Amino acid sequence: MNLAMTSAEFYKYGFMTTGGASDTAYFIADQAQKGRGHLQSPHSLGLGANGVLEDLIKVAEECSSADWDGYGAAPVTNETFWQAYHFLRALPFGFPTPSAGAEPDGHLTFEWHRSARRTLSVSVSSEGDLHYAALLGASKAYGTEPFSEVVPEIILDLINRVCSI
Amino acid sequence: MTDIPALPPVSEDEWMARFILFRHWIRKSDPRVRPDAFIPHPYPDLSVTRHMDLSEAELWQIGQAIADKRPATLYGRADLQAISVIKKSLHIVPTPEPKNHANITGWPADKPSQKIIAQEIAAEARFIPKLDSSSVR
Repeated sequence: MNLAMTSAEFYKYGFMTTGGASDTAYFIADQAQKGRGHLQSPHSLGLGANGVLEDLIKVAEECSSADWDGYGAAPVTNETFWQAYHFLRALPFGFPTPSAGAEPDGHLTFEWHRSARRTLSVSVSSEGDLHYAALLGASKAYGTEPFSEVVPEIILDLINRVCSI
Repeated sequence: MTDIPALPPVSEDEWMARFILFRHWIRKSDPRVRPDAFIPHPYPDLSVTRHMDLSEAELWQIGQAIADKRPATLYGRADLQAISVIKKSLHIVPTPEPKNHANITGWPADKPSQKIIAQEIAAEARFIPKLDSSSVR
């Protein structure tokens, strides 16, 4: 399913729509409704404060079609958006918020950046894989971790190392 | 049969440009390009334009032609020196067309390894905004 809504529509109507009348369709619609309510809850204000959620929606929209870069890029799918959204929400309260982007393979990215040699990028795939790469002065770290509701400890540690003074 | 002139080899101190066609490839926090701009996909190589013998105006003309073809907005370019690519065990392979084009090849297949290389290239690249464009922030 391509992302064909504007940011305003996302907040108003939700991301997922379903024309089906099955129990599954009703369940999905219900979950989407709950998701919208969650988005507008006070707990979401932290994400909205620096515009990262707005940016994430905007980037996902811009890159929702195949070949969005005119060079054969893979689309950012609904599944990838939701994985990225849940990752963002799973960040512990008080953690620095990242900026959002996209890569030509259809992954959404989050970046914590302090300087050229102190920076962390996390790519989120539609399957919930988190591919990360960090420059920490003269050293570096990279790898893949699965995402399932909780942000992996190694990524939290890297965020701290990049952002701590 | 016509002879195709040999393409000049890439020297370590040579500069190359990666044209930036998406706003989300440029950081808001500082005037640098995100590593996202250097991830090779779907081809196993990354397209760049050699500065070699080009004036600034000619370089921007090539960038604009690439943007027009896709179509996309040309926001600027990331300039990188060949040595910063070569020292990561990648190769720069010139191609006859388009003018001054080269591919950065030899990328590892796995995503985390691609990302760390893209990070290091981004850290050393210089972002040059296209100043005459109203789209540039």
